[in-house]
Amino acid sequence: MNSDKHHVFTCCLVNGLHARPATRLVGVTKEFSANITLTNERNGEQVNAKSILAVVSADVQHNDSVRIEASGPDRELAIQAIRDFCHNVLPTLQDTSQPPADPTSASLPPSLAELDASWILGKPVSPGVGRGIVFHVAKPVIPESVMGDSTNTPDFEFERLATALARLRVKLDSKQMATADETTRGVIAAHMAITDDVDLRSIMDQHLQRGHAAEQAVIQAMQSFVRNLQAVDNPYIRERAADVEDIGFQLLELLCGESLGDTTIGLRQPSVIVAERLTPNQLLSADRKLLQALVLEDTGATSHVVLMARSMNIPTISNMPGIRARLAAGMSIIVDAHRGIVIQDPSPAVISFYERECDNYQRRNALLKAQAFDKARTTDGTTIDVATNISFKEDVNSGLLALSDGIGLLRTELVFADFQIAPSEEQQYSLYCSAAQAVEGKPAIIRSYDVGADKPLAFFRSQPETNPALGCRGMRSYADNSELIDTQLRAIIRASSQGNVQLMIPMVSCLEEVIQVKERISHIKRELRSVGVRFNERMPVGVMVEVPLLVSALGDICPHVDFLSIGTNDLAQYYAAADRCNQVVASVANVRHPAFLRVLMQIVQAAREHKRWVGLCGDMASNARNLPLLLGLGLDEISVIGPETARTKALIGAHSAEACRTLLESAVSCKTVIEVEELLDGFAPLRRWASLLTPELVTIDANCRSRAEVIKHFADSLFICGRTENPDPVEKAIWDREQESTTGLGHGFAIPHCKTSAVGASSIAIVRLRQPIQWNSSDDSQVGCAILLAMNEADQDKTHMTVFSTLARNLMHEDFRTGLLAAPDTEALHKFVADKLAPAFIGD
Amino acid sequence: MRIVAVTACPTGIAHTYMAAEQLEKTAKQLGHEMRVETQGAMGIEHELTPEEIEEADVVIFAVGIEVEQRERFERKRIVEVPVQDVLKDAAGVFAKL
Repeated sequence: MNSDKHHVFTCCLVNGLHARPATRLVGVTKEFSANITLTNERNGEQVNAKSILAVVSADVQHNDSVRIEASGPDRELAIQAIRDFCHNVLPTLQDTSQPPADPTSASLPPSLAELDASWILGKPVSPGVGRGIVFHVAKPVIPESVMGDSTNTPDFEFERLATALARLRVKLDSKQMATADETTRGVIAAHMAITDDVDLRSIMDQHLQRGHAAEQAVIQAMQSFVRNLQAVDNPYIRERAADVEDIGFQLLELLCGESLGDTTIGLRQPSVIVAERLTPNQLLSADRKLLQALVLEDTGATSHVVLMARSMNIPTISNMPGIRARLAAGMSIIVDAHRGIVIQDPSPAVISFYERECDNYQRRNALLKAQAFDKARTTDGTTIDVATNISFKEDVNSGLLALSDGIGLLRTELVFADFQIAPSEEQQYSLYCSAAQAVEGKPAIIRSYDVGADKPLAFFRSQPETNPALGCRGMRSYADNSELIDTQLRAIIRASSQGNVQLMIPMVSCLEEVIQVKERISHIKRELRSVGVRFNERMPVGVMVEVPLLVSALGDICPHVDFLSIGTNDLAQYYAAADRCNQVVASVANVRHPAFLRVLMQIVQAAREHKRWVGLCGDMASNARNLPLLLGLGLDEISVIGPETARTKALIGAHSAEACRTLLESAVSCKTVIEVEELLDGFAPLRRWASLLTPELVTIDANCRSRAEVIKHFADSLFICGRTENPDPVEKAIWDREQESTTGLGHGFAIPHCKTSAVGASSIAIVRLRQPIQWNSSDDSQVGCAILLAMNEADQDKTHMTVFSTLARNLMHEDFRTGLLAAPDTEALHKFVADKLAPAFIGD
Repeated sequence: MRIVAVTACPTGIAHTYMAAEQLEKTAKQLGHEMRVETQGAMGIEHELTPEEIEEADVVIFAVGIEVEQRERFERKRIVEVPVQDVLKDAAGVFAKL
């Protein structure tokens, strides 16, 4: 059970509580004077929750139960802040980038294998292909000279260490300023926190007190932490030893004023760094424009260097023991971190294979990007906005919003959570303006302070309450903090001149409260007008729907507001009268309960009756399992956490709005949540690409000179159009079928085909050749047009099979074959085939 | 003649259906009565009834794999050819009947 003095939570992070989330947690605990400890209930490790290294070495893994305890004067506030952190911040720190799958030598496609290149297999940890000259980097070495004892006084050594630490922080700070890459900034922030770590400092201090030199203190503390970290089970956390070493080496360099070896890397030409291991500091010192790839002997997929490489799109292969001996400095190599191979001295044919592949990637990215920028659209043409929730200042300019349809919820109490005194009007104005500009005219919904219960703010006035969740939260606290609220409203209203800013009021329960806030807004607008400040006179004002009373008052409230946004987290907890922070009862507040779905339906109906825009910004929207239910509701917008934006858009394209409406109707007539779960289990979304054949899959006048080139062309086309994630096994599956018996039909046609799990979306592709080619060596028939039928092995869609068989049957008729050859361009050819196949699509 | 046929190929995506179409088309040209059962990726389609099999003068198997429920044809005269042959020279296949 949770109380004011402790908080127990389950670690939701797949990779455990590693350095970056730990850094954020320590950022919270350090604000309080209370002693705070963290206990991993799985292994009994109890550590200081203000030391990032200690927190990391507690080895908190996914689903571990963690207990945080506080003692001291401000312990209640500390526990509240930690609880808030666990609920609102921790889930957003999930790692989204995944390392590529392990390769096998069998995965080389025939078109590459036949080029007979000399290659070495490794483990790809950051995808991509890079070509350059081998550049060796050695591990820093600790010079003998620093091993001795100090002849100085402890005070002098204290001073030296303090100076070195301060200089290192300045160095890290300037590196952080110099990079725009979010992962790199996170790693540097974690390093910064290590320099500040209380436990590390206390070990160093102990050594200094014993009369050791500062260098010795650094080496001893570094080695002690490296030992502890390397002893934990979680490989993710073991990797953190490299970060401590990195900081240690940098401190030593500052202390002894000399380089410890390759701590900075000077590249002069397009290069591939080959090293046993690399530290983040070494990676950062290399010129990104010249760095083409990394080849590492022994660095895990979850090391910071690899995370940074992935984030900076540097192709990287690891697990290559002894590779430095095989790749001499100055040798030309290609690093293929899709397939996990390093090719030595590539031939012109191999180089042109990779140039073509590079071109395929660019075409694919351009196509997919164009699709993601489009509005999310269901297979039957219904559009819905997918906006993003913003909880951190940094997220506003991080590129997170590039694919988003707007900001669906900017949580002002969280973006200013680390402020000890209230942010000024100017500070707020500038943030709200950047938010509005980041979404370029799309809505930026800014929620005024929602303080209270699990979300305290240091600068907000609040009274101790016996039941804070039902207490003075959200707009109910505004009367006691009128100056702060006026400042915030002024900043938001002013920012409305800079974009599509909309104001949302939290925790509204009745019409009287809406009128109260709107009067305040009118008052502020009058003041601004009187001093000639410009703003959007029609700035929309909406309410967050999270109090049950408001749901039955919507008929009265809608005429007074411009929009509604459903906050499912609180709405569910208040409807169920079940604290969502209390794990014992949290499941009662299940958003998929049929009775709760009926409430959502009622809200959307009320909005429709009054012609009001209605969105949904609770956590419910960020879980893909709920998506069909939300599409069934017919919302105008859903707002999700940043990393889910693009994926949610893509998923919407797999659903039919009609099918989702039917699903929701069945769900609301269920009696239990289990029945709803069963409905969802049986609800298969349509494949992402409802159509088997798009114009992009049709090529005429192709310059393929052999059957092998045609097959490679088909595999590449599927990849470029996003219908397979990996063209190699597709190419191989087509070849396997060819080996059984020829797919040449006579009359100048061939119909290669395959059925494989490597095909994501079943597809038809057509290629018409400039010059007829010989299809099979066993007969001398010539082929001028080839049609690929590529089927996903698990495709249960009968329509797809019907289309394939209809196409196959059509090919037996001369008029169809003549039509295929006669079409003047790709559009005409696509239309001709699509029209012929249309009858088979009926019912799709 | 009254002819029934079964077409089936390993992948069951293309040749099963092309052969079926070709047999139906050629039978029509030659003035035969023809029913074709396909055994492809969608399983058995246009399944032959016991009466149709009973009344047929001859059965064509244009197949590259084992025929499903072969026992239905136990007492019939069967001409078995590779699927490819139907595509290359359908008239030749009918000449064997």
